[in-house]
Amino acid sequence: MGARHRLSTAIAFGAFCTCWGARASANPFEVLGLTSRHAGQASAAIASVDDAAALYYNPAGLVARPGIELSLGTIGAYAHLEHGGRLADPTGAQLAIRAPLPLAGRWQDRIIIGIALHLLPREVAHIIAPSPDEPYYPYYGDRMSRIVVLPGAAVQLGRLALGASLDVLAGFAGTLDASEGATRAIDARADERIPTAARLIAGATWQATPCLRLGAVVRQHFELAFATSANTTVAGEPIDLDLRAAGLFTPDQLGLGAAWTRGPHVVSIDLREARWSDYRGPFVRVDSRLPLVGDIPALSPRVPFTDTYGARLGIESHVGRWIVRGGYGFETSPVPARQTGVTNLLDGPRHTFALGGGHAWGRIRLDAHVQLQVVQHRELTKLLDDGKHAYDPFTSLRDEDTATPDVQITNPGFPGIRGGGQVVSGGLTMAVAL
Amino acid sequence: MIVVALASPAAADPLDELGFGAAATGMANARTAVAIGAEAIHLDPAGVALATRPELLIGWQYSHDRLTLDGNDARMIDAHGSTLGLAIPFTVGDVRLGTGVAVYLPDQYLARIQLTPINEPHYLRFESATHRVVVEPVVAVAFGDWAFGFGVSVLADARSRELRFDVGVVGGEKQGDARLDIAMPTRKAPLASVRWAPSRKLELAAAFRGQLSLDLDLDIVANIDVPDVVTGTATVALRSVSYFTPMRASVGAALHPREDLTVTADLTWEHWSALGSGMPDLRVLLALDIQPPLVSSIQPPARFHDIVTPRAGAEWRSGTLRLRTGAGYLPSPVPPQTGITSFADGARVLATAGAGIRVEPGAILTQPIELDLALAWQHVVHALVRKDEALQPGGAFSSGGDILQASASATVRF
Repeated sequence: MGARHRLSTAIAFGAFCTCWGARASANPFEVLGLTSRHAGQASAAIASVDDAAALYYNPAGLVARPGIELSLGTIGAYAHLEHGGRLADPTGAQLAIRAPLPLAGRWQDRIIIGIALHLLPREVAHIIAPSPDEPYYPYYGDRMSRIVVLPGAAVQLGRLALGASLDVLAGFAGTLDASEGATRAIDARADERIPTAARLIAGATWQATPCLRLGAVVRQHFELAFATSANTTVAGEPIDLDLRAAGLFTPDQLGLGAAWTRGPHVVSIDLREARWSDYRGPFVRVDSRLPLVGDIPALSPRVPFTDTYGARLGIESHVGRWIVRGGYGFETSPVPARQTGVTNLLDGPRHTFALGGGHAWGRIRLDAHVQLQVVQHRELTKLLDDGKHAYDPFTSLRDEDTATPDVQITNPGFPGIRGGGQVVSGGLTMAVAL
Repeated sequence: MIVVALASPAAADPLDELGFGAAATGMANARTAVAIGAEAIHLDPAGVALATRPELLIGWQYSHDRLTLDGNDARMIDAHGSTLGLAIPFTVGDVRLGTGVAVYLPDQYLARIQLTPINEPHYLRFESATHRVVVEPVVAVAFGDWAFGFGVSVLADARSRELRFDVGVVGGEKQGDARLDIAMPTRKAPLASVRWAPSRKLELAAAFRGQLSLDLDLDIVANIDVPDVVTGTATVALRSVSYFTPMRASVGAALHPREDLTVTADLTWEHWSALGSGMPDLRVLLALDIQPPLVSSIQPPARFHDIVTPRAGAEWRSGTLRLRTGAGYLPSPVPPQTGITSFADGARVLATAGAGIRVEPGAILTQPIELDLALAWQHVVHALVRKDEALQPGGAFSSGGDILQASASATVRF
């Protein structure tokens, strides 16, 4: 078997392995919210949440009210973003339930457990890892494209409530060994595993006065180190390929909130910080060593993501059996505004406007909401490498074919690219007190 | 083009192997006609509508495999995981309704995909059987002596929409990158069951579950552009079926000869003959400036056959104590492995025992809690397989061993 044949075989198996190591997506609740009641307030809920949606917003809120409650809903979104930015899975169904443990005496209604789910109509997950030069919105991308399972519990200790929930996730790791068998066909052995993993959401609320409740929530940083290797032996010669991907990055998040209640009106204010500066980017890194060609390094630009800060305001007002809601939120962008090299990651500071309403019939309440996210426009302009320093793919572009006169560049963002736009979402939720 | 010889797992549902809750484990899973509330979701969804209050079942199970190949440890990985069942009954007029979901979460993996060279002896049905997640949402309705349940058992496939791997020379330097777009579409198998209680002493049930599997359908394109070395495209197409869980139909009966005693029996038919080849199809197409292509080889179908599994159980109650026992015979669907395939398997004898207590409401609880424990032992009958002399002169392998399981669960009512 020729060396070129071995090379092509190795590359094919390297690509085979690549399919296993893709990153999964982040939490769709971060983009769309959980239940129409809270999405209709721009997800300003850290201190005010008092239903099963607390499993995401602040698990301590699970215990704010007694009783068994079930919420069923659907949510959907439409993106109008520059360069055809779209949402991979724009619709989903949501279910959240909570119930107090059947304890009597002083612990009655003091410990409450629950579970929240986000389900996709046709998929469990949809994984997208773009090429480094592909125009791509990392904040949206595939962030809504996985199911979410959030079990949790909370306990009431006087005016203090503590709660925790787990975002159950999965990663990927394994190996593929392949070698030419006796019949010259490829004899392969694979052992790929999808390990169970989870990240913690912990929160607390403090009923400072009858009107004022304060809340804090911490969402744990999570990153799954996807790693798989292909060890191929052809004609007695080993050909190795290694895949390294930083899967499912969710930054450390800290949220502080206050909720002020006066009669039938509740005003919520949230402040949030997310440490996106730990993010290494959405790209898959594939390194290989092949016969004749030697080392083939991955094109993996290091993108300096930045921490984000945001504030949200939400209002809920009861008028008889009717409920009116509204909200506004602002969040800075984690994506660098200056990308003069290979990458075309599109994003911008985000404004969120929300409106919602509901109506109660006895034990049943029906809520609806609509939300508009406006991503501020940004213009990315590319620079050409001057050849004076070591080449950095994040800071400049270079001639792709040095054997041809003039400069050949196929980067879709050259000489400039504009990003931004709007994402509209809406939903319905039915809440039943059981 | 080539077709490569690999074998991927075929397995029953993990909850069929481990039981959903320790009460089911302690009675050899022969509770189709008596399960009510959360524990009914997996065995007989109709029983969800017969619950009187919302129920939460939380459990944990461990399975220790002591299987051998040629007298040596088969190096099976012990399986352990958590079960979670939630049943919510409610009424509309005189009609009792219920909804619920059963979940099994393995501690180690949500799924494990193994591809083994087909001529290597291995336990095709056991090596990954208990290493996958189970999700089963159901609804149920009951009126009079009848109850009906419907639901789905959910798994996912993996399909590539785009899987591109580029190796080339950019700016005079070698460079590789990739673009992935892989969907995991939901795969659903229908669940349906009916329960009938013709008298206070007899309950009858029938349950059906459709076929389920995790199918891989991946097309990978590798574009290679290294001038003076190689230029062209290599395409890999992988089609495989993992976690094949056959369609099954069960009938069950429960007899209550005394107030404190229940005797049950289940008979289950499993459609293993639908497995097909049981092997993945991996094809590599090389559109490069090189010759000749790799040699092709095609593997024979697995030719599994359908099986009928009898199980029986008994439960004795005294005050707050419950004692349980069960037994079953699980035939093997695997045909004699005299050819190129070497699927180790064997008929299994199952014996179980369990106990539970019911903690009544009082100063601490407002609703009762049931705590259950169970142990199960499966003996896989030893077998010596001799290969066809024309194919593999002197070829043979032996298999067999034991599987030990333990289960603990709590059922909480709200």
